[in-house]
Amino acid sequence: MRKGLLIIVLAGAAAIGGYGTYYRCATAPTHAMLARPDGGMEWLRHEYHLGDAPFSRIQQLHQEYAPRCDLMCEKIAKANARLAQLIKVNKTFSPEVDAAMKECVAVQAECRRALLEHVYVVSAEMSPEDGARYLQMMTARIVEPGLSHQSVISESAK
Amino acid sequence: MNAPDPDDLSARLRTWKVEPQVPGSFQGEVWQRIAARQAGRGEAFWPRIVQWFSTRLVRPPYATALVLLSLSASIGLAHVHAQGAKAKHWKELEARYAASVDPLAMSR
Repeated sequence: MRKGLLIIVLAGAAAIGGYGTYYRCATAPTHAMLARPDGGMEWLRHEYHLGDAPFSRIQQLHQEYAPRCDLMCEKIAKANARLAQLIKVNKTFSPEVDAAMKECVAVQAECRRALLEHVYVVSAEMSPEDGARYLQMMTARIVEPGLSHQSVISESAK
Repeated sequence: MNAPDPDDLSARLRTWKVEPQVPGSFQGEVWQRIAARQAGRGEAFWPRIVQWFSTRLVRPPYATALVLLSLSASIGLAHVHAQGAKAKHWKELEARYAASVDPLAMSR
């Protein structure tokens, strides 16, 4: 009887050990990527099968684009804050609110244009199939920023 | 030898009646027996399991099979859970990359 219980305990221990070891090994690469600050770029490399040369060119493009992106982000934040402030102060739709609204739209359009330009340049560094897939994923975000790219594509495909 | 008169035989058969003597406690005793058998089966289940563990499971082939089966099932379950976790991580990384190049996402 004691021997039987020992075998059951052993089987349980093997099950727990097997589960933990397999799960840890299987999720270790994505866990490591998530922990890294440049995990997003590593994801791009794996997802779009980038070799060393195209990846370093894309990294270079990313670094060149980053200051422009930060500047645009600042512009959007300022325009949004100004619009929010004017909406708070004005009780009616005044020309000032209208101008602030137009400024917000203009800044956002400028950002989308710059992003689309960057996306085209990056996709050109990939293989034709991967480039098309990357373009599809990113342009869906530009067309409908609030939606996931699958939902945008499925909607337009209808 | 004379053959029996068929009319006479038919008349006798018509008047013939069978009256079985069933004791009054017959039905009660049947139910008592059924209840006793069912109780016996229920009691025998756990001792049988315990007996199986103490006799069969201790044999090396059974013990090895149980350990291997547990290990395989746990690895299968871990594989399914890991697939889900990896897909979730992948989506997070995709969103992180997209946010790193999208000023609209960064400003939100």
